[in-house]
Amino acid sequence: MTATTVLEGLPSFVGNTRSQLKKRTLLFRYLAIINLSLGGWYLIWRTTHSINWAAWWISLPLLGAEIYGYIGAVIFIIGLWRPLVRQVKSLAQNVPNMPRSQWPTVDVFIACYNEPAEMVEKTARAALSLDYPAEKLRVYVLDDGNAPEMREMAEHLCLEDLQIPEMQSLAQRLKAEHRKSVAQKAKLEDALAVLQSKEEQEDCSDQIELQQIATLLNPQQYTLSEQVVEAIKAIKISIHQQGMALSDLARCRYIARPKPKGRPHHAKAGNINHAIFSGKTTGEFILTLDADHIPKTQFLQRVLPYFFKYNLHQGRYEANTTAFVQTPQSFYNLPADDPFCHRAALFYGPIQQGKDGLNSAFYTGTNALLRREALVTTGLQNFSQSLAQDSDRLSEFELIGGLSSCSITEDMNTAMRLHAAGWQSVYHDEILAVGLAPDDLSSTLKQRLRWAQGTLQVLQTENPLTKSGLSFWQRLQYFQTMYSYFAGFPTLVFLLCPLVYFFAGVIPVEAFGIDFVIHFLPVYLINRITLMVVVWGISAREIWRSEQYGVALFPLFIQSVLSVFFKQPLSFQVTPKQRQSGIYLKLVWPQLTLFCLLIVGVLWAGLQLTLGNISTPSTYWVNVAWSVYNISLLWSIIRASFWSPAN
Amino acid sequence: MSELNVVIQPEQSLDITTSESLRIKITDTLQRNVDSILIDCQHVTFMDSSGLSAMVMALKHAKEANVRLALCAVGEQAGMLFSLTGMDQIFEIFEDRAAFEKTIAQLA
Repeated sequence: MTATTVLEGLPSFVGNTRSQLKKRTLLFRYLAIINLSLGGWYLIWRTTHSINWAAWWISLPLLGAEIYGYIGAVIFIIGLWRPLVRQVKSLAQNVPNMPRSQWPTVDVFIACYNEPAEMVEKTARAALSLDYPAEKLRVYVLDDGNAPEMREMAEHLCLEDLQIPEMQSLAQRLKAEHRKSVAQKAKLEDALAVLQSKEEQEDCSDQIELQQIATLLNPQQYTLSEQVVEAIKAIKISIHQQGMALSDLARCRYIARPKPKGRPHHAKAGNINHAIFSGKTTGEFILTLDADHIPKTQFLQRVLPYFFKYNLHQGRYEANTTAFVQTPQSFYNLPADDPFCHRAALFYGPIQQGKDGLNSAFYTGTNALLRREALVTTGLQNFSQSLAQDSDRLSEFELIGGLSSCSITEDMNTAMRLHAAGWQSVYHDEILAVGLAPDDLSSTLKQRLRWAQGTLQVLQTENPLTKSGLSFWQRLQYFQTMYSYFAGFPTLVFLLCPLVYFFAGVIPVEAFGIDFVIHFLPVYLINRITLMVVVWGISAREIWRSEQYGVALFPLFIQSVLSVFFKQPLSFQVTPKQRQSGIYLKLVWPQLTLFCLLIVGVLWAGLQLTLGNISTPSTYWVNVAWSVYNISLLWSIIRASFWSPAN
Repeated sequence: MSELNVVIQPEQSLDITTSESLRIKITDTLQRNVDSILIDCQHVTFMDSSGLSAMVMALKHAKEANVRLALCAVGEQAGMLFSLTGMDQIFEIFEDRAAFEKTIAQLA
């Protein structure tokens, strides 16, 4: 499971954050090198000794699939080379202490579209309860669906929030300061009147003494009355600001952007950008949350320290170059066996930690804190480039000038641009918010398709391998995610090979006998052992589920590649947050077909075996083993298609 | 300057807290049927990305209203921000008011 970094009492290290290599990294590196070498040796043997040229139409694709897998493994392993485990001291416990007056202002953006108001209300309530000074926190409900119930909910919540003790005492405090300032202004005005009347009396000796005192106080200004005038001016400004603050206390606000017909709205990116540039939000940091992700109270305390470094020589905290801190996604509605593979313990675990170690942690859209300055500066840089190509884009500046709107996975693209602009990223492996995972197959597939298409969109429009500003490791990390979405094709080949043998008697490999086993088995075993070390701490069941879905989603991956590279228009399909009940066998017809064919194939060829029609039984058994493996992988998604909570 | 060419002079710091009032001032000015707006930045001591984005919003509104928006006397810190973000290619930036007025005269 994800390691938590909340410790009893203060962690004992110098500084406020610490990062260390994950345990067993060295062991992993040794195994990885052995793994890759053995894999390379295996591939060389395959290429030179084992291609069945007579059946090149299946043996070459199979070899290609294995090479694809090997390259993928190389990139994947490099990506895990330097997994970081980070520890942090909560902001209130930072050493040296950061005075609360220096704590930055934070805006919480809750992006919603068509979710029920009760769901968003839970999230907004939790956001208002974050452990942070009330006057420095604002919560904005960004309703892209412009629903009256949502607005009503937000207004109701706002009023409720103004009644809580902390807000009441804040209001009292501000009123008291206001009263004090007004009283002070009155006193100063009285003093001014007295001074001016004294000056009119032309009492010279008094004048000179007063003048000397005045010069002592402030050498640049002449008379005492002039100084009093300045003080009155300053206090008038204070009074005005205090008045503004008092009328501006509301913490929970509702923003529904105008969506004029006929103009592109840029989906979630447009929604968030509008909030940033509308002038209604001013927080130095932005916490983006999906409508259903409920933050824990300590979220800001645990994450803010990453954005500051202590300048020892100046004795104060300064901003560093961290643009965002990403925390894991975790779900509170997962069934025990996770039929839809939402747990992502591998991604929000070794993978993100590995990316973090190479300064390429991904921003995944929710549960992350962003530095506004980084977002806007980078947004402006990219905006000016796109404006140079098309000056009409100025008219939609507030929708595209911040978060990237070039892809339906706007979060990943934004992170890439931030990295390319030189900002740092952090992955903090502590569960600080919990959300809802889709619990039906249709919603799950919609979500996965969006991730796949969006990622490939980025590959097409902003290829990380050629994008300037990224480091070599960052390029590799971004490319790795994109590369993995091409896996649908090799997977299909792997699934078809046993079928080709069962029904046509053709094998893609020269000999499936002992020679093959000697080459294949060690590689396979080392592969599994290396994987075991990587996923240490994650339950075997979860790993198996990930493996199943990695294969079972092959039609989706193929579809995403074809739809992106054949330029079909992609719409941002919002993942439904409520269960869309039904039986979805139609959605899994490719997997179901292969599943049935494999079973039939095993039985059919088994029949041939008993009839004595097969010369090398060992080949049959190898293919049976392979088929059993494939069947168990495909079963996951077939099961998911008719899964319901009652099961 | 004539009624049709307005100068706005923001003070001190153009950051997240003050940029909104600048933008409001500009949009109010745009209501008044002017020909051009010049933002004189000689007293601007500091600008951050929020101040800059307020200016971009102002430019957008100005373009929509067919009004010319230009800047002058941009300080060193602000100038760096403009070139870092590539916004120096998007805005008309002049040395001072006189340089801007000359272009008005040329167009007239």
